[in-house]
Formats: sequence, structure tokens, C-alpha cells
Amino acid sequence: MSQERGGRGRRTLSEKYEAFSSEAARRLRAHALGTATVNGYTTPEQAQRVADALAMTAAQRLLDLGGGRGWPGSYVARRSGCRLVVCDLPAEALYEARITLDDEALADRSALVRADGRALPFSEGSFDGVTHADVLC
Amino acid sequence: MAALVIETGAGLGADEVALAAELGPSDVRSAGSLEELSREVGLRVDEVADVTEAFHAALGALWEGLRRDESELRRAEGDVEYDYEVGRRRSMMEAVRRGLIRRTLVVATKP
Repeated sequence: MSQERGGRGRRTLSEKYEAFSSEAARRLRAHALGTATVNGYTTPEQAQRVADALAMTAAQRLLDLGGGRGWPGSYVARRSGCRLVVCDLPAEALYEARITLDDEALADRSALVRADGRALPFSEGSFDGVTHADVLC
Repeated sequence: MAALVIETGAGLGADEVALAAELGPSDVRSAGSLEELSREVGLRVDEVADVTEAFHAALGALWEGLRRDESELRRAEGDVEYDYEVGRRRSMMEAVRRGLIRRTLVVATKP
């Protein structure tokens, strides 16, 4: 991978998900943050706060905007039984999200959508709840 | 909506905001806090909680893990990626310590 990155040497969004995706990196995230699927800094305790605040039911639909590896949306969906749509721009993020959703047995009630958060392809009222965590960082 | 966001510290001047973007997430600059933006689009803000302390603790745990597993991570990810990751965590911890960035939980409802 080139040392030249987007924005003053920063990783681009795609690079963010390509880098540090080894098993060693997953173990690091799991040890430090309590889950390997995290793509920001949301701990399981904070994911529970999000779940409590949203109070989703099995009949409802949640949007995880800029959901990266599918966290914390997958946590909320697993706890509540709700349907989940993980939306993000980098294909690499959605690839990782698919692994998360398969691992969490959420594949049959979730969907991945590649879209820009500034122009979402959903009609008004499509979701009962929205979450996002550390988008664009 | 229940969201967690990294934002610039309250009451920063332009130079400090620029430094926050340098040390923290580059997109940390925005038109306002998530709380303010939520109100602007007509949401009722039900809860705002500062989770910066937990954010700093998470950064610290990642930093410690990076140092502990250095040889394994260098092998798996390469020196460039490893050094980049260490540098980012260090600069973000500094940004938090200096009050340049904070992390906030915002819960808002459409009335």
C-alpha cells in the first residue's frame, strides 16, 4: 500500500477498512474495545446505551448510517430482533459488515446498501430508528 | 436517533479547531455540534452525554495493545501501517488531553 494517503497523509475511507484487518488486528480491537467488529470507538456498554435509547422492536427497521463493519447496528439488531440496514460508501466496509452479519446470524433480516449519507436512496419514513457512530473518522 | 460522534471541544478558536482536525479526525470540523444540528433539522434532543473519558480510555487501551503486540502486528500489517496506527492513536490522545476533541452521545427523536 502506498504511503501516500488521502488528506495530509490520512487513510482514505477504503484504506481504513483494508488496513488493520488481519487476525492480529481483530484480536487487538476485541481486547481493547470489547469487540472486533467495532469501526470506531463504541464499546459494548455504549452499544447497549444506544439499544436502550432506540428501544427497537422486532417489527421495526433500523438504519446504521456509515455503519462500517456493522457496529453498533448489529448489536442493536441482535438484542431487539429488529431488521437492520447497514449503509456505507466503501465497498471494503460493506464486505466486513457482511462478515459481521453472517457471524451474528443476522443475514436473513439485514441488508447492506452502498450509498452516500448525503444522498440516501430511501424514502421518508423507511426507518423507525437511526444510529451512527464515529462516521468519517 | 442515537448516535456517537467525535466533535471539536466547546468554545475553540479557529486555530484550535484547525489543530483538532490535524491531531484528531480530519473531518471533525463541522457546521456545529450534533446536538445543534439535530435541533436545526427539527429533532427533539432527548439526551446529550459526554463520553470523552471512555473515548480516551479506549484510545489508551488500543495504544497499550499496539505496544504489547507490536512484533505480531508489524508482521501481519507491515511497518507502514503499524507506525501509522500508533501515530494516529497518539495524536488523538493528545487532542483529547488538550480538550480539542470530545466524544458525545446524542439521542434525538422526530416529534
